[in-house]
Amino acid sequence: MTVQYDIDSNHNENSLEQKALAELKAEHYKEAIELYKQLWETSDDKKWQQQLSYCYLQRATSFAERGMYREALLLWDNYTQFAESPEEALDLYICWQIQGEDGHKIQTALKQLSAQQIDQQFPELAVLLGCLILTEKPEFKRYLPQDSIFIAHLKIAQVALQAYLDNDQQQLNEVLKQIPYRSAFRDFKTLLNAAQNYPQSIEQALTKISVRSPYYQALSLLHCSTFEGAKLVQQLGKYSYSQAREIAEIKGFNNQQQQLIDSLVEHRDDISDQVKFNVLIQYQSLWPTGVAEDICKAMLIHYPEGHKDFKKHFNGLSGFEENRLKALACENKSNNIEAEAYWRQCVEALQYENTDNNLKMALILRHMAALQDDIELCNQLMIESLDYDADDLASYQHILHYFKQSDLDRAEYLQWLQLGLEHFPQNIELLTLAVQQEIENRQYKKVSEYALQIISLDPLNRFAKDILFSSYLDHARKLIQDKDYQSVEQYINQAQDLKLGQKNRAQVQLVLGLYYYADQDKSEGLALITESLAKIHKDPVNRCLQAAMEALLTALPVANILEGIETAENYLLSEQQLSQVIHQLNFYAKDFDHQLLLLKALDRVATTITNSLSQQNYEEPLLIELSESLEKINAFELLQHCARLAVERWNAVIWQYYLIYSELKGMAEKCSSAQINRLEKIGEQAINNKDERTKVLIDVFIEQYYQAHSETSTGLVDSLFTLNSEEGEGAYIDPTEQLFKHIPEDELLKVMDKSDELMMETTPEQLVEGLTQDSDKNEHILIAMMQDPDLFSALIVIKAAISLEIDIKLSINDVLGFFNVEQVAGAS
Amino acid sequence: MTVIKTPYQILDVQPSATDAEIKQAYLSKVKDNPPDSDQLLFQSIHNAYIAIKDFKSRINYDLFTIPNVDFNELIDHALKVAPQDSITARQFNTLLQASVDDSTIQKAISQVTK
Repeated sequence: MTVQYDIDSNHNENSLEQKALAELKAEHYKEAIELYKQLWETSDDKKWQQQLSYCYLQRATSFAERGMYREALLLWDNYTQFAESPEEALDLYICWQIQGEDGHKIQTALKQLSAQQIDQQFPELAVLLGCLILTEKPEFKRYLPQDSIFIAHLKIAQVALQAYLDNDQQQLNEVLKQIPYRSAFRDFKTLLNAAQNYPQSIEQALTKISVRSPYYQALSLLHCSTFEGAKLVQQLGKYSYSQAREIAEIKGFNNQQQQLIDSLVEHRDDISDQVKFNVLIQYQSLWPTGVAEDICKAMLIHYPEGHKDFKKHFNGLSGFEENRLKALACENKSNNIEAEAYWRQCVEALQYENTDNNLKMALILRHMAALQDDIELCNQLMIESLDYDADDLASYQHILHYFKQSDLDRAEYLQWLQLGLEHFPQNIELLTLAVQQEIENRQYKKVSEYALQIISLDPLNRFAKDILFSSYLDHARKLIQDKDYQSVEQYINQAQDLKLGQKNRAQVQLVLGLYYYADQDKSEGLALITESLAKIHKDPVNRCLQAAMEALLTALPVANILEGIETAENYLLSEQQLSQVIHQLNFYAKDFDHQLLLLKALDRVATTITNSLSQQNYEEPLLIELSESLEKINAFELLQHCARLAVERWNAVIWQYYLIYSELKGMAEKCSSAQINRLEKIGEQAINNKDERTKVLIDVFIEQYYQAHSETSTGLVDSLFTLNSEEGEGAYIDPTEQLFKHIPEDELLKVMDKSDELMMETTPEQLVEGLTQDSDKNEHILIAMMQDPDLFSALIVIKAAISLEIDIKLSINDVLGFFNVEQVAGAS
Repeated sequence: MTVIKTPYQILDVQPSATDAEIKQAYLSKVKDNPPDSDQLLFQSIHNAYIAIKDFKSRINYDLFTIPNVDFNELIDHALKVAPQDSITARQFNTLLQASVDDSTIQKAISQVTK
């Protein structure tokens, strides 16, 4: 774009000069040239001429830098029109002419060079000309000033090169010494020296020659030729085809190798599995016999598309091998379903072979099991694998774990445990499972046998020792209970001999005390009991609980045994002591037969525990732990007390569940429809809270309810009518039934339908908010609803009747009164 | 040639070696390459032993191991030529002549421009 300016005044001229200077500084030489031309036309100022020559030279250079030498040379002509001494940039002009490849013009340009210029003024041009004369343009020599130092050094370099070609080491060394440091042939000298000491000196020479030197490429090629194999191929990619060929020639590669290099260089940016596979097939003669085949076979896992070519070029694969590779290829792509199908075909192929393939088949089946997401199918595969290799411990462990976890088929579990023990009678893990199983079966003799077997294999096995310890003491207690005192001491001593630490010693002392009390000296027995309990527990509640339980287990009078124990009344349990109570409950509850005795023992300390729960602020996890233990032994009253307190404090789903559960004494069949609705609602809350455990508890309880009732309907109306027809002895009477029995059936049906609808969309909190604005009373009603979910159902019925505008002749206060809840002022 | 590095090659035993021979080779390798000298090498020796220590392991290895092919090593082998400890004058001259191309002159010109 041409820039046109008026320059009528000095002011304008100044302004134009500023603009021209600005363009020049911004390296916008084309625009600057236009402006300076205008300035130069108005006044023949030398200053404009200089600026113009500068701008033209800069433009020419920028074209040359982009490889546009023709344009550069045209601009050079413009430059010479304005430049006072254009020969100052003659080196550039000659370089551009060399690139322009016009022999005549190059010759003319070279002839313009003086000896002073080539020797001193243009050292880089001299290096380039020297390199060109020594390689592809020897004729340039003729056009250069023959009296120059350059020509003198050129002659020396040529002699040196000839001496090198003639292998005349002495002459070469002598001649090279004549090339001084400041010479256009310094890099050539370095290159020749490096070639003489090839390959050791190449790397060092690379640090001495600039990458822009015309000799650098030659040195770089020499360096490349020192590489071998894959590294050489990688390096060759940097050079032109002809240069790469020269290097290959030097290395002495044969045609096959040369073609392999060409192929690899061609795909150097992406040597895919396909390229590798094809290269291996095409140039297989470059490797020892069979290698290419082996590797191609291995590669089929990553490149399954190669199966066809593999068959074409090598011996075919057996059916088994083909499926094996396909299976691995699928696994490689995380396609386990197809992989499994191929593995199955492998097993089938192996079955038809004459050789003993049992182990292979077993291993494949186990491998398939490991790929399987479905645990049932996985287990089936493990079982199948044992048909072929029955002595695999890991398989038994896996199968046993599956049946134990799934809890589906107890008989199956026992059968596999038995099989496992038959094959691995000395495996401690299996023996441990056997111990656990016999504990469950209450086969204590077998428990002891297995435990003793474990100890014979592993004398320090703590699990087995603990089991034996308990077993001996249990037996001793049983003998005391049966008044068969003859061998009590023997069992006590056996427990003692296990040497399980201080606490266990105290347990032994306790049973010994019970024995003494029963058969020997009562006061000595009581003293031993008291002393041992003092060692085991620091608080009277735990002592009392254990004393009562031990007395019950040995059929001794509880009251007498407790005489020596400090009373537990008015004692407040610390968190740690409550935790110990839980531990005791869990310990004794392990034996189902002890459950009733445990409840009796618990009665002795129930008041103390109740008081502690009311007065101590225990953490929620501890109370959950306690509730779990109480639930296990059906201690409903204590559980209800605990749940009520917890609902007030945390109002969590688990406590709402425990409250309903304990109120119903664990009997799901006694659930009212309102309670079931409530349970379903809090079940949803449990899902929202991601409280899986509580959700499972609730689901199991609801399931028990539905199993107990032939009707599966969840509707409140259905429940009411169902209850109406269940007025037999012991049938549960829903309080809401009594409250609404006066309502005509057609109206009741409508109201109940609406109630079911409201039940689904209203929480107790929302319902209470609608009754009164008094937050204290709201909370009061809310707690009452938590304690008796039938209140919630009844209030929902009232709300349904109001919304349907059906007069059921009952108010909210009537309902609250019916449930003995303080009435709400202003409520209709 | 060891393009596919198998546990047998790592332990220097034949595929037909017995359990005892494999164990012996493993112990000897571990003795020569303790874990504190080269952790990676020790690990590879140990893994190799685990892979083939008994008959079942060897079958397992044969069935399910995806061989690790070193393609570069394969190329190294294919391009093996007699080692070259010098370059002839003729070869040097050929390389020198081949070295001068457009890029050589362009680089030199950029030096002049600077």
